[in-house]
Amino acid sequence: MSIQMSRRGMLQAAAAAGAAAALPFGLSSHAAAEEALTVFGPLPPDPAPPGAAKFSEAAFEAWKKAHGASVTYDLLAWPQLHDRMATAFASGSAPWDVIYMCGWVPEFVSFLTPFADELPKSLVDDLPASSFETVTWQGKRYGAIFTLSLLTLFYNKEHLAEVGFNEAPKNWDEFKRATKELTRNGRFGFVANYGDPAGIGGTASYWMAFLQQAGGKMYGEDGMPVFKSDAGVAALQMMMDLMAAGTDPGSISYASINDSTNVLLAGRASMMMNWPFMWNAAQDPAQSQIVGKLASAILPAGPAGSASIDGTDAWTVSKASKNPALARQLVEFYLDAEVQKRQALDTGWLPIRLSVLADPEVQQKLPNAAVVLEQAKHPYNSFVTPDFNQVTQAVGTEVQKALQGQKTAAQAIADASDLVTAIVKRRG
Amino acid sequence: MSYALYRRGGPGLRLVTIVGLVLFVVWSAAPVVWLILSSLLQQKALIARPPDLSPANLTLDNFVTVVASAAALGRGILNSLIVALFSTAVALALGAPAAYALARLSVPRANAIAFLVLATQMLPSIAIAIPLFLVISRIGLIDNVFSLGVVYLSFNLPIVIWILRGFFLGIPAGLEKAAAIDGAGVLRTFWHIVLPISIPPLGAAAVFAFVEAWNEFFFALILTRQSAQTVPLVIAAFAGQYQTVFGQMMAAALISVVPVIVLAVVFRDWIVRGFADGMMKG
Repeated sequence: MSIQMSRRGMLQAAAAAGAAAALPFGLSSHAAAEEALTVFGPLPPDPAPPGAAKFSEAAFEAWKKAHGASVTYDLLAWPQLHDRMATAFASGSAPWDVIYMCGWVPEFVSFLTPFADELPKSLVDDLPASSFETVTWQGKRYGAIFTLSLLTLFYNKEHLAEVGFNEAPKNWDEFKRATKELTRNGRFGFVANYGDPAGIGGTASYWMAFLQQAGGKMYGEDGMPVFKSDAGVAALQMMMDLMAAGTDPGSISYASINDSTNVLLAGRASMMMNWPFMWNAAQDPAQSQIVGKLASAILPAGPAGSASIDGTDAWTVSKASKNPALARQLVEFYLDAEVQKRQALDTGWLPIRLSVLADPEVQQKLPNAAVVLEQAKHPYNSFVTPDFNQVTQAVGTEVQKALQGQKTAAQAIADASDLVTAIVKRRG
Repeated sequence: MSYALYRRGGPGLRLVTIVGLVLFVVWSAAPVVWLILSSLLQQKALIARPPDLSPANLTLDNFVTVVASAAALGRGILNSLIVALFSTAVALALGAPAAYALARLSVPRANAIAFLVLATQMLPSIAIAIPLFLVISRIGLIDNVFSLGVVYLSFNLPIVIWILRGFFLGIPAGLEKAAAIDGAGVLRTFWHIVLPISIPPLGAAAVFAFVEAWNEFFFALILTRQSAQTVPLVIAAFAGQYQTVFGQMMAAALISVVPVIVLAVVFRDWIVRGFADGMMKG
């Protein structure tokens, strides 16, 4: 087939091409194609972004329109996130611009860009300074936490009232006494999920909370473990004492927080350390038998005071992103005060912005917000490293042995220290 | 124990046999019964100890919720069907001639080759995950049901070859000789003589390969994104970091096993005969 073109036709085509080239850049790019971003994160009800979870949807549409952007969500059930991410990164084929992380920043740091160093000062000033600890590596900030998710104490106030406690235990001694006295009538004073040694929320991370309450820390300035100390042993001994006082024996086999949460929601235990998500779940009659009976408080203080660990739900930007600036702007949108407020009110996931946490409407809807805010005034280091999984596997396994009476606290901590020292040395 | 022996045995033997069979049926059926019950109970009834099975707690809400948000489940079932059917069909098409060659033809070191085929199954999935991901990613076939089907061939093909090889080894040599006397070559003998009498083991191998592909999780996890997600991934989505919606998960699982159960019921005679033939003659 031949195409014939007249001289007038050629002139018209040339004029059209010239006009298109003369259009302002923004307009011509709008006409050509939208800037595309891909976000990798967890499926709701785990902490998911606007448009994936049901909040701030209109604002999200407006943001996309204003930025000429299309955003594709690649969402996966939380327990599978790490495996898919690890495979994609290891093969050099991670297709995402914005990536959810949960304590994995040091592990994947070579694939991320330190975008958080460029966040506006007004935003950074409204975030808890310590929220950056788990997303900072070698002095650079690679992520931004978007929900304040700290372990606090949740308790059945009806059970506590029955044994004469009008408020939550405030220190270790009260904690042990309450656990013992609450263990009656076929229920247990305390429940935990000690079944999985590794990761945030694993056995080792619970011990890390007690460790900080005892005044200890995991690593010294040189990066070597320093937890073979009185504080390390005292922290484990506290867990063992709680076990003996009346921790649900099933705790040693409950592998996820779901399992132990269900025990509390069924009224079969009276206290547990849990994340803020629990508040809404406990108020849902379809899944809870303790509606209206739950209260929360900061974790009981050890010799050094209260302390917790950080759930570290963060957004990061991939080094391979073709639109890193736009990706950063999307994270800024996720952290916008109004979006954060809707996140709290509509999904129950607490905001990270201090101004929103202090918002009366948020505190009224989520009474545990004030408690978490108070908990945030105390240390909450999760001690994440590139080999966090190996470290917590090693420590958690030793803690489990002690909890099962196979080792003394001192012996388990000494063995854990040897294992972690070897891991750190391998890291170099 | 044969039926004749059972008939000849005294009441004691019969009682033991019946009790044993009842226990076996209960043991086998219990997970399925619990699956059905869980799908019909509210979360709070499920987490009670013991689970509260009172009729007041029975509900169809889990199914309603799962069906109402059926886009993911429907897409998952469709993807699983495509992947499982594709890999099963190709495994049969390639595996049957390969098994026949290894069983009946003068292939040098046939036994060694057969064991080599089996040896590919001994590699843990994680060992090949990254190379596999890399290759599929480079050719742009991540999140594609057919690339997933090709990956599933890596474990379905050996299964098919081993099941069919066992059956082919037991075919009387006279059949092939008679075909040869009538002028049939190897291919014609395979196509017109061997395959028609191999329907039961082919059916058994097909069902086995289909179920393997239907249930596979790990490769589906790393090689798909959103559009090619299979049923196991959709079901796993009901278990989050902080919350597992047991009832809905069980409802989705129940819906997703229907195709496999239908397949097993329709082809049950072939499955039994196929495996029995393969085991006896292999």
